[in-house]
Amino acid sequence: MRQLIVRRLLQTLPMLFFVSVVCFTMIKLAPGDPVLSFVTPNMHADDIERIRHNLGLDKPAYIQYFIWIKEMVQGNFGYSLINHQPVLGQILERLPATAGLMGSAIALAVILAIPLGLVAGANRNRWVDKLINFISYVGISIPLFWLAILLMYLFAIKLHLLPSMGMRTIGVESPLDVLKHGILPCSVLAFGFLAGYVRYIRSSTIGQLKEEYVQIQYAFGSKKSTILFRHVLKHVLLPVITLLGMSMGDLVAGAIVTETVFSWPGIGSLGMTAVKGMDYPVIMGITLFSSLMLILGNMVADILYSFVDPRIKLKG
Amino acid sequence: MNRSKWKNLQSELFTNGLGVAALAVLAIFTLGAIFAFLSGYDPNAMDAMARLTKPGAGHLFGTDDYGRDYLSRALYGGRVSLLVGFASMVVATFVGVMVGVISGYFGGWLDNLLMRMLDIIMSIPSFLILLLLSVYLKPSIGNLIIIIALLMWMNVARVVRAETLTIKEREYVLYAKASGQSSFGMIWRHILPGLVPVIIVGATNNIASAIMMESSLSFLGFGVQPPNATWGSMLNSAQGYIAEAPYLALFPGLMILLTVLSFNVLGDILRVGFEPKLIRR
Amino acid sequence: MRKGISGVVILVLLTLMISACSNGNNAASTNTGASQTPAETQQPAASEPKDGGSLIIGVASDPVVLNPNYAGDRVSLTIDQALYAPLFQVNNGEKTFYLAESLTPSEDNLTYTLKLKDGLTWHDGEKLTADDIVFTIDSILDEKQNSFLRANFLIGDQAIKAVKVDDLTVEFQLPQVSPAFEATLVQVFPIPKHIFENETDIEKSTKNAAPVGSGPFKFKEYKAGEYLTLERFDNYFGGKPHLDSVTYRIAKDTNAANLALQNGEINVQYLDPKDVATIQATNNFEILPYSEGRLAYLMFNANSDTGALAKKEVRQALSLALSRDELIQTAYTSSEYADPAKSFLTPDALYFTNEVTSFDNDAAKAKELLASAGESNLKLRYIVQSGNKAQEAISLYVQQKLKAVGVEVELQNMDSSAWVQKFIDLKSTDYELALTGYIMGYDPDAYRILFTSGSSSNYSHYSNSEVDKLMNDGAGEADPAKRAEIYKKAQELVAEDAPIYPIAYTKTVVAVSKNYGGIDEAVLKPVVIFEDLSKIYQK
Repeated sequence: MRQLIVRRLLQTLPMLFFVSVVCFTMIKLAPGDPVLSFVTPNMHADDIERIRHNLGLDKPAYIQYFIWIKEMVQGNFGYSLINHQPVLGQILERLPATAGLMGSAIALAVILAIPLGLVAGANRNRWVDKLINFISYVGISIPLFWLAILLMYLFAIKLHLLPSMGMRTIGVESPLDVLKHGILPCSVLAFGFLAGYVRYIRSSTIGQLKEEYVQIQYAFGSKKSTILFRHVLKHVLLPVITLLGMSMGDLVAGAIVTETVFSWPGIGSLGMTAVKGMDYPVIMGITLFSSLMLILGNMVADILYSFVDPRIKLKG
Repeated sequence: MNRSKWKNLQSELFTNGLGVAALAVLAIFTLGAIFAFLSGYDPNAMDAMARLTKPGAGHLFGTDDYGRDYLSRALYGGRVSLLVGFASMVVATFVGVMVGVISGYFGGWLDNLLMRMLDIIMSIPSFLILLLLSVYLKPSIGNLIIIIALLMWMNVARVVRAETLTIKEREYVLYAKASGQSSFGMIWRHILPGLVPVIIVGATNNIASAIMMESSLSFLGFGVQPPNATWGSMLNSAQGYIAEAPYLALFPGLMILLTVLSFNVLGDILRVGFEPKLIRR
Repeated sequence: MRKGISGVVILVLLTLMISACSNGNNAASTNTGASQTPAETQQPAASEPKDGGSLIIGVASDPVVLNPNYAGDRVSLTIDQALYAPLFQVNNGEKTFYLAESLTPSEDNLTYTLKLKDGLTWHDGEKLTADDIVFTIDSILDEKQNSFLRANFLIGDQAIKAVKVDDLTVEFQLPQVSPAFEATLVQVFPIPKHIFENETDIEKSTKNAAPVGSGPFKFKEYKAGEYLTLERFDNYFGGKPHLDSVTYRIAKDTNAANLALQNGEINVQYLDPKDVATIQATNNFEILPYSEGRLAYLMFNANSDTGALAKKEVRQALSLALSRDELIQTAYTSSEYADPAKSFLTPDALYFTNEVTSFDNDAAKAKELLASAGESNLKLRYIVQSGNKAQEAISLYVQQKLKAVGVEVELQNMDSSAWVQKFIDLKSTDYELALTGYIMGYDPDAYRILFTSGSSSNYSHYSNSEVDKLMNDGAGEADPAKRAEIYKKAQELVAEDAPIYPIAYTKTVVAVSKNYGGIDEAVLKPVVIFEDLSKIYQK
């Protein structure tokens, strides 16, 4: 097992390398020029060249790439072209906001999805199922930014119950305050995740109910709810682990839209700013970081899965 | 695909109330988009005097912040949204099927190479790529279609490859192969027809996600450029008037929701319709 | 481009770009009406200023660098205004002295003597002396330090020298007479020598993360993407500030910011004219439109490969086809937020006059002129910054109006960096029209780079030898009466030749919560909102 994990970890390295090459090439092929954000109408041509030189942008692209790799290996992910701060620091600074938001959204979604999915699966094709099914249809079909706007309109503007933006009331340092700010964005994201989870759990519940052990329990005269929540639940939780692993990738980039609407100070909004300013070290940093999360997430899911269900062999 | 399967599908579609509703919604929106010019207003004609008119007799959906008729903007916007959704689905499906079939049919190093490529592309968070590409490529409808297609073909390729692997092992296919048919002939005559169900289901779901991606991009201001509107970009500007003119946010949002919902519902019905073949998925 | 007020021009470009990013939030901002400065309309406050409380100002992005030698973006400049004190500021030609006590030019106008106030200190308690001033100027001039302001301190290619006379006196030595020198000094906000002395690269120094200034408020904390808080500096030379703290809340999304404003999560915020009605309806805010000294105009590129706009008559005809009032209505919703512009100078500039020839709103005459110039089936390319609302609205309007006189306009949408690249490249020949704007400051000499033949910022490629001569004469003319005559004539000539179509002197609109007083004393200021935050108090 340990060997396998090490091997999988080593495999991520070439993957990340390729991801970085793809990403870098894309940025360099693009027509934009980051120096332009510094240029002013009455700068001399040599002023512009000086800035370009200072940022290392006058070197051939492959050299720039190697310099970037060097910074990368040294562990700071390079420096932002705009504010010259180390990229890793900026990402880590924003990480808690995004991770907290996504983490609680995923947790909320799972907590809601399990009973909904079980009930829907157990009552296949009855009205409860149809209702839950329809809700989850809406869940995967609704544009999250629209939902965000509607909720904001209702709770922040009409009812004045919740703040409309940001993560904190200024000067207030309390977890409760952060929680209050997080309710809207978290609900929006959770609703998005919820639909997928419910459908997944529903179909595996349906699958499980056909299994022998369920029939045996019935034969023993167990109540349906007992079977469902005591026995089926255990088996249904398996796919949820995989789902969670796959959600890891979203952790970083997935909240871009929601963070924008609610001015949530996370990695998504950092990414938006970087993309607009063509700040390639920051873009690369975020991309790599989220790729890493995605790859690791899938890996962890695979490993956990093989722990819980030894029948599944870990793919090398 | 034999006849009974189509029958099965038909009955699924029309006995299911949701299915009929979905078809109806899509038919209405498509017709609306095609005959948008009948609305009687130029969607880009500004009228400073008629800013933010509430929905009513003259303007069914009201007017926006430049006094443009919101109904005709929604219809023309739908044209772009639907077109982008449909076209990127076609491109993505085409590429996905090509890669999937080649990979699955030929196997070996080619399969390995293609699948590793796929792994790499899939491990870059897609929305981030979407943002990057749309900033760097000039925003135009054509580019938007390509960008979105680039992000969707992988799923099709995966499913198609898996399906190809099973079809390949069927007896009639093995027999045909043994009788010396060319690879191309094999794929064309025996593999592709067997893939039709997965392709149709995949394509339907892809339209839904393409429309969603397009609207998210436009909402962030990276999509189709003004004065042209799409539902997403309309929502973007509507956000600023949410307090005084909530209807601006209501209409385009509802239209996206209904369209995507319809395609998703259809996708599921199709999938069930093609059962038992696809039941294991 | 010699002296120039390049810093201000930087702002224009930055403003353009920033506004492009934030849905054109700021594009519609800025000003005119020099007649009504807050200082003049000042009324005695009804209640006595109270101490305590805090103020939250909404800003559109994170600050880039909290060091006035490098601040080029709106947000950094705004925060620096509270953190760092200037030497002096100029409003309507009147100096208000801050760190400086006086500035005296010599007989020959080649030496300026700056006296500092006595007993100045930095936020950390160190003394602020002439050494700091000299250090600041030297850092700006040091090529290795990459300051944006460097070009301002070069006249011709020679640097202005700053020399310490004693602890409170600095002498500036100019290589040649430059009436615009004072405007250059306005932009200097001294940085502390004892902090930055041994930094090899001040711009990238980690010390900028905890800035030490001399302004009314000192740095407290910064949470990236959320907010930045400053707290009262008790030893501020202008008297202890009323507020305990000032917070800049980062709200990247205009819509979100406006909602936060209505919810009381933000107290001061820039407004797009289109949002004014919404905010006004809440009745909780003072809506304050004020002049930003900015001209918004449609530029005619005479150098395009078709050569269509090289003819004066064609430019005049295009101007006649448009209506200034309609343009203002379209882009700024009401003339309350933008005054019709005719001269290339802005109303805050010395010798400004709007009494010049103007080509406006006469389609019939436009057609006539086009016919007599022998132009038919004219096709023009108009570059537009996508995502910028004012730009979009105006481009659509222009397209509509020019079509009416038989001129076809092709709109080329591009993102703001591509737009800027094309616009600032004097060799661009593949477009004819562009909407833009400038803030050049109060000295008319600053405008020379825009309108003299072959100048660095003469984007419209305007060339008139008479104007060239007038502008050059004006730069060195010490007699105000003669100077006035020169610039009056230049304004008329440029207006007649129509190298640009001046649209409006735009205004910045700021909403300030009614809970705050002292706004007049704080002086509303372009770009940075308040000149002196120490005067604001909570009612």
